[in-house]
Amino acid sequence: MAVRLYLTPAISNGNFTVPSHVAAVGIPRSSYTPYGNELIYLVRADVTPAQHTAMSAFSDVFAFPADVTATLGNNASVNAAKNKLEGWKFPADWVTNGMTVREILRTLVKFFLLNQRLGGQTNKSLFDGAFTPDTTVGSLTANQRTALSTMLQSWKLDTAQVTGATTLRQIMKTAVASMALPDVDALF
Amino acid sequence: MALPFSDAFEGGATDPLSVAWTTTFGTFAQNGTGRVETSGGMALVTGETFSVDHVVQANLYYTGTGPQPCIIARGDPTGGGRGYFLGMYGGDLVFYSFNTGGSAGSLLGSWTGSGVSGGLAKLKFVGSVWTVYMDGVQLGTDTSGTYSDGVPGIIGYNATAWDNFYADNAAGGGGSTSAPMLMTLGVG
Repeated sequence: MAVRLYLTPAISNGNFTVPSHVAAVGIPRSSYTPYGNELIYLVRADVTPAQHTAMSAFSDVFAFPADVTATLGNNASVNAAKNKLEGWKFPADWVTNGMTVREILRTLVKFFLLNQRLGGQTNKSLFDGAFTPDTTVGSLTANQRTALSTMLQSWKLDTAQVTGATTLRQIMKTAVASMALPDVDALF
Repeated sequence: MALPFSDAFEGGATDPLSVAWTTTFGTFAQNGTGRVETSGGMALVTGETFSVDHVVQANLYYTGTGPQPCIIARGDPTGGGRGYFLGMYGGDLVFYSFNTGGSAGSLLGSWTGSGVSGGLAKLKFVGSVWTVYMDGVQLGTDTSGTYSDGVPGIIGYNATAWDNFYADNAAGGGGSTSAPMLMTLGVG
């Protein structure tokens, strides 16, 4: 058995969301971090080699390398990861070839936390409707701007310099760079 | 009263929960074996002041395959019906964030075969990191930022029961460990 990390879509089980594929593969012990109300999960699973092979074989699953001190690999591997992340509405332009998997995970998980908090406060996502990381604050409704501000302030982040031209990407990247969460970092 | 808070549910048929509890919905009763039970209910410990970082544990009991006796961390003391619950379902131990009174939410962890009736389930939150234990053995730890405050409690359906409820601040009576952060957003 080995602990592996995956990104996988979420599916609805009644009114509850659960990560896809985990039950079908028969993984007995795992924990999950949902991307707020976006239907993506970061899965931490204790898997056999066969279970890892099965999870990795799904085209909608991204499997992180087992060695978190390694990099993602060559340019093609890094670009593929960035494209996957952007497709799931994560800002990913900060990912570079020299980054270790651990460095990527420690930043990525804070995007999860931001959108989770908004979901907990409003039952909405940062990316409701057609919103993407490049949506500007000026495109949000007054209620959505208030919800965004409330969420950021709940993490004790100062929003004074946010303007209508600021994108969600800029806000999220700056926010995670300011989130000092050593207890969360220690998980990766 | 002072922390730690404990309730062995020995208050008798007319007072199954002590005065520290507030029932959010449903009803609770003594089941004749020194446990408190419900066919559908939620109650929170609102009579004590807990840090946002707290630990909660109880023995959970059920019969059959579908019941859900759960303990709650960071439940909404204002009756909003949200928080985190750790409970037993069909022989498994499951951990969810929940809203709308427990009828919706996201799966955060699952441990096949670890939900044996009578087991001592324990849930601890410190900052954005949770840890789950069963009978003194740590089963998992991961991160969630959906809810940042609240109080311990219980929720369950389908003739479930609890005994030996215990809750305390994670630091054993101390305050929050959440550190303040400050970010400055770039504009461009």
